Amino acid sequence: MNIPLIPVWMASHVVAAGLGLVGTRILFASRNRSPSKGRILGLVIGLVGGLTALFLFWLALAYMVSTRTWAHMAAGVEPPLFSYHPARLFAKPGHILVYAILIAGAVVMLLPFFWMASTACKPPAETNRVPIKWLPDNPACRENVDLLYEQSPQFNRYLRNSALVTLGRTFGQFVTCSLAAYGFARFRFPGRNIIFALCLALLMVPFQAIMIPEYILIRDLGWLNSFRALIIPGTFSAFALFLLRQAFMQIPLELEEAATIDGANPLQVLWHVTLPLSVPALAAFGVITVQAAWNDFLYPLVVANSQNTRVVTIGIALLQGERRTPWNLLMMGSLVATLPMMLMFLLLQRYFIEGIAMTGVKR
Amino acid sequence: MTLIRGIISRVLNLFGPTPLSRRKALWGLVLIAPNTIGLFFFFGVPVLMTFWTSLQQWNGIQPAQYIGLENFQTLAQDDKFRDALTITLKLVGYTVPAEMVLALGVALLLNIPLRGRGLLRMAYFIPVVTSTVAASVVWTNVFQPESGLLSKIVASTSWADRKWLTDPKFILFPIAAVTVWQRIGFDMVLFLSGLQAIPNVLYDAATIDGANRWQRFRYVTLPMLSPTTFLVMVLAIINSFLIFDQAFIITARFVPGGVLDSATTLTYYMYERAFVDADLSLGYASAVALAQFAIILAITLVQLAVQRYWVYYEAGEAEA
Repeated sequence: MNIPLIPVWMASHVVAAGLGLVGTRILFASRNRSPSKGRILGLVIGLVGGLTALFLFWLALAYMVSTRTWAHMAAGVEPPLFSYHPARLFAKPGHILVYAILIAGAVVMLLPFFWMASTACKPPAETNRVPIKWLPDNPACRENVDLLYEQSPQFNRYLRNSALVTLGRTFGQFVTCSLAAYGFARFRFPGRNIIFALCLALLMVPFQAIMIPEYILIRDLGWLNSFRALIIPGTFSAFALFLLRQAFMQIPLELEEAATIDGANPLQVLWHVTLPLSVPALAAFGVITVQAAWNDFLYPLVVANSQNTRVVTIGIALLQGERRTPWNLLMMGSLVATLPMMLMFLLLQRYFIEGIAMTGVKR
Repeated sequence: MTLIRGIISRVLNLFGPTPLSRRKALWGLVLIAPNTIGLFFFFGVPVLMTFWTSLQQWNGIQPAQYIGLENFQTLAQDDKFRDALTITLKLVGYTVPAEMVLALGVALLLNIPLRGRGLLRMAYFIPVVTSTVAASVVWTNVFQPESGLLSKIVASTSWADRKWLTDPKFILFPIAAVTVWQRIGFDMVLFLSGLQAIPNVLYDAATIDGANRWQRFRYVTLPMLSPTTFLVMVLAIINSFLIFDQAFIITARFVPGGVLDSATTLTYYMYERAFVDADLSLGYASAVALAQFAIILAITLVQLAVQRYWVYYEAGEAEA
């Protein structure tokens, strides 16, 4: 016997949604006199009720489908046509619990972002309302951006400075570290292992430990409060060296040898063979370096905290330090400073995760 | 003459036995030169300088004075340093177990082949890429009494009017919360890559031997994952030991460093001594930096020594 499961499944959606809505309308029509409040509450509860009912229907059907399919397979019979059915998502009943836990956790992780975006778009009068409102009654995104620039007139310059520093460091590291990584990966020379080990040892030294001598060094060079201080030391990196060297060593030697036999010098081999073959590693390097440079705080705070060279993280810290700064402006500032990295992450998240899994470090 | 030629050929032989290999060696040196020189100048030199600066009395304006080990003697009796160390250790104690347990839990669940787990993984990871400064601003607001998200959620309980940000008893919780929140995704990725490296054969074998789900976790997953757990623990402790941005931002709105210095971590203390205090002392701050680094190093070495009692390496992996 073959029950037409797809129509039954679809019908169950309609029935469940209808039941939920009708039920809650009845419930709230009798209990709530205020029409607009009653409507919203009814809608919310209706949605929740409808979705719950729908979920239960779905669950029951998923269970039926999966047991039926297994039964067919056990009997050696071709499973029915609907074996591709979306309900097979719950091939194992335990997965429902797993989903519930994971989604609840993910919501908690994302809550601060929602709160940031929500507060950033609230007019000042709404920021302190007591029942939590996620959507402002009178959205004031544009107004808050304008107010932010009024409070912190140089905010655009801070953003530009951050962008410049990020680009400078990333490009610089790309040049110096891909050259060095290629040198360490493919050439034998006296002292190679010792020099490489020393570079790796630098990876273990946290910036905090050398902060003061670094400051003295930058000051003695006369670079305090300049872009040279922000960019040039950041163009050298032990982390990028390590990551790229690992990647270059995995490229088959034969490809590079073929290019050498065709008359290419090492730089040409690097540019035309090695780099194009390590695009994933370069992407991982790129996103991690960009993120670290954009979010850097302590180093710029120490060496370049003047009006002209201030980066956006310090700009936000200054806003936060003013107790008068309203929360909606602070949140707008944080949102503006976070958005570029979030967009980059959404587009390139794979490389972030691979880069960290590859090296266990993030800078 | 023969002597000089001998020396020259010795030196040349260092670079390789044939002219071709010598040319390759030269190429290698040229390629590594920019990064190596830069690293040495901007990071190697400061490492060496730290030791020298820590032996000086110097406020950054008047010329530096060599005072031997005096900074370290002061350090040993400095109550503020001891307080900062206690605060830092407390933070390590709050954050490291919490983030590791949560990250391991999430990683175990995300290791199940579920539909849409890429999206879920993203949700857990996205705090890692946001700047600590912006994240701390948001969390300051969350913990704000009366208007904050937390006090609204717990409005009817005794937590509602708790002064998270100004009471020295509670200030470390917001700081720990941001840190854990930002760190879960990072640890999770490491745990996930560790979990994926466990061969399925082991689970099959355990199942055939009659192991139930808990036993498979206890006797296959945990031991096979222990190298990853070790790595995560070492990195997490170092990270929490260096906390600065969170403490700086969260306390910036009220009393920088926290009421009664209740949020002055070691790094914050160092920053204060070198750049904020009325009597700046770059030398003393360097001594604090050295002490901090020495403590981190000691903790890491102890962990390395103890790992052989609980970390399981498969044969051949032991020296890694």
